[in-house]
Amino acid sequence: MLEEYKQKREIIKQMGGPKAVAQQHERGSWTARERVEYFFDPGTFTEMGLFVEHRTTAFGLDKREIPAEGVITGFGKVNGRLVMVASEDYTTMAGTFGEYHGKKFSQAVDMAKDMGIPFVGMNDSGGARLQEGMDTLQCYAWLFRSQILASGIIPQIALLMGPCLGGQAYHPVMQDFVFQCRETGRMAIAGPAFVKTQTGEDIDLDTLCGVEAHAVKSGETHVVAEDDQDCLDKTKELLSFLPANNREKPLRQETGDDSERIDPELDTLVPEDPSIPYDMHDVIARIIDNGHFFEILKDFAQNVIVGFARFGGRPAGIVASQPMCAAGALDCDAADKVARFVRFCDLFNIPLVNLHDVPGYWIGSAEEWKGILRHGAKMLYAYVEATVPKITVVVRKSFAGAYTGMCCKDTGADLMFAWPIARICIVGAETAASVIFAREIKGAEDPKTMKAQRIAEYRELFENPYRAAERGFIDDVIMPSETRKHINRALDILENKTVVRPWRKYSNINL
Amino acid sequence: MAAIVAPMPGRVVDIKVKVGEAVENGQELCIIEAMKMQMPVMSPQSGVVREIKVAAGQGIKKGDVMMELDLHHPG
Repeated sequence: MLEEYKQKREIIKQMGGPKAVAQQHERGSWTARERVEYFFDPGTFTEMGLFVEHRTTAFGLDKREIPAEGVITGFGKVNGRLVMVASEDYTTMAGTFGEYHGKKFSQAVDMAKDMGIPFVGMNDSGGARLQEGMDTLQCYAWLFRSQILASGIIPQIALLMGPCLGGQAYHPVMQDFVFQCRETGRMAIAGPAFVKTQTGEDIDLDTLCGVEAHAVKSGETHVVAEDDQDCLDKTKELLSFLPANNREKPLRQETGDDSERIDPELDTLVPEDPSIPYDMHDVIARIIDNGHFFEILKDFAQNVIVGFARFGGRPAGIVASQPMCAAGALDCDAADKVARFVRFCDLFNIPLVNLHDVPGYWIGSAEEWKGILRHGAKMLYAYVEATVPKITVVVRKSFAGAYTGMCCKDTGADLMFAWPIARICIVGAETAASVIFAREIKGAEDPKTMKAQRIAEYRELFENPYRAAERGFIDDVIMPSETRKHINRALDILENKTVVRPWRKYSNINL
Repeated sequence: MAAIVAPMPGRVVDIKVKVGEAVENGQELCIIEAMKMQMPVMSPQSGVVREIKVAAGQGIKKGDVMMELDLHHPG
């Protein structure tokens, strides 16, 4: 009896057999079981549904064994904390998504939701198991439903480790973060052959849906990984910043970096001339714990930077302008990037730190016609509705709609600081003077001098941090070198912040 | 050959090189301005400036070709 038990288990654990496993390795990939083994702390994985089998009889499938239904599901510990996985096995009938494969996958998500632990999907599948007809379509519906109902309750991370085409592409993209392996991860609503027959477009798989397509162009891939090991390492790193569910706070860790540390370099790091770009990453690295920053969507909408870091050991989400790219002005893609990140942080009790050096939202026909107003509105909704601690620092510029859209005091910041070089105003002096004094400048004996004089007056009066501070729109003008200290003290006072608002189903955010 | 395209819409403020000039990887080719920011545009590789298609003061759209370089191919 025990022998039979051992043998049954052993056969299933061999997945698609030695030949298929060798092919998987030749592609530079690990098998589903190797991934699970590497991901969890040694000896902590508990598998569920090892013996599950399909019940299809059509097209000879009744004679076909599909070990574990091509997906390994279960739970284990990652750095001591429970996580649920579904790891698709490409060696077993190409990891195709059949009825019971889908059932295992969606039940794993349901269980993660009900138990309040993060879910990680290791996706590597040839797509729908077409021999099962309607049953395979319906199991996509189960999975979509499970994921969406778990959204906002547990963190969900999708890893693109192999092909994810057709139905397989919808479910990763609906999770909170998508990681893509550079050489093997591919995600598309339809593959090249289907694209060719339906639209005539000739395109190869990598160009259509490789890392360049999604990490740079579509903004659907949040993190690019070099290979399976790098992908799993980065997933563990991200998990370290997140709580297990929406009822918990993220874990505070000792980082050894003094929360009151002063950084004198910061006082001269940013050029005073607002038209000179610099890399905001340099500012971020100096204010966070040990310079350790986990950037999200690094290659997409680079005019803003978002990611996770720690302050005094507390995980926080950072949203920062990037003056080095597109003037740090906000376009439609940047607005989408910020809004979804802010909402994720708010769902999982992660405080937000916002660093402004932003001249405004991008103007002109290109962005206007893409809908910059409705995309920009997403940021306002996200920040105003977020109830987590929010701290804003105006590093240099904060003008116009972007001042409100990147979280000023009245769009959500609990505490707001500005550096002495900050310019906080409705518009820049050139624009303001050319509107207010248009007639006077036109009628002047020397219009050029008059214009310059009026610009200088407006700049003197309004382009500074003190008009905003006079009204209490910012709480203090601080030395750049003391930024970290002020952020940490703000996070201390905001630790137990509570917000009570009247019931509504949800807001009508501009999706 | 490499086309140097405008990374954002705006106005050309200054051209830093001449036709026929050898440029290094990372060298400033021109400066464009938009949304209150001056953005240096750098050479992506070393090479020689073949053609300059814009002049200082000129308006540009994102993606406009501003210059063309003949690249040096080491080895």
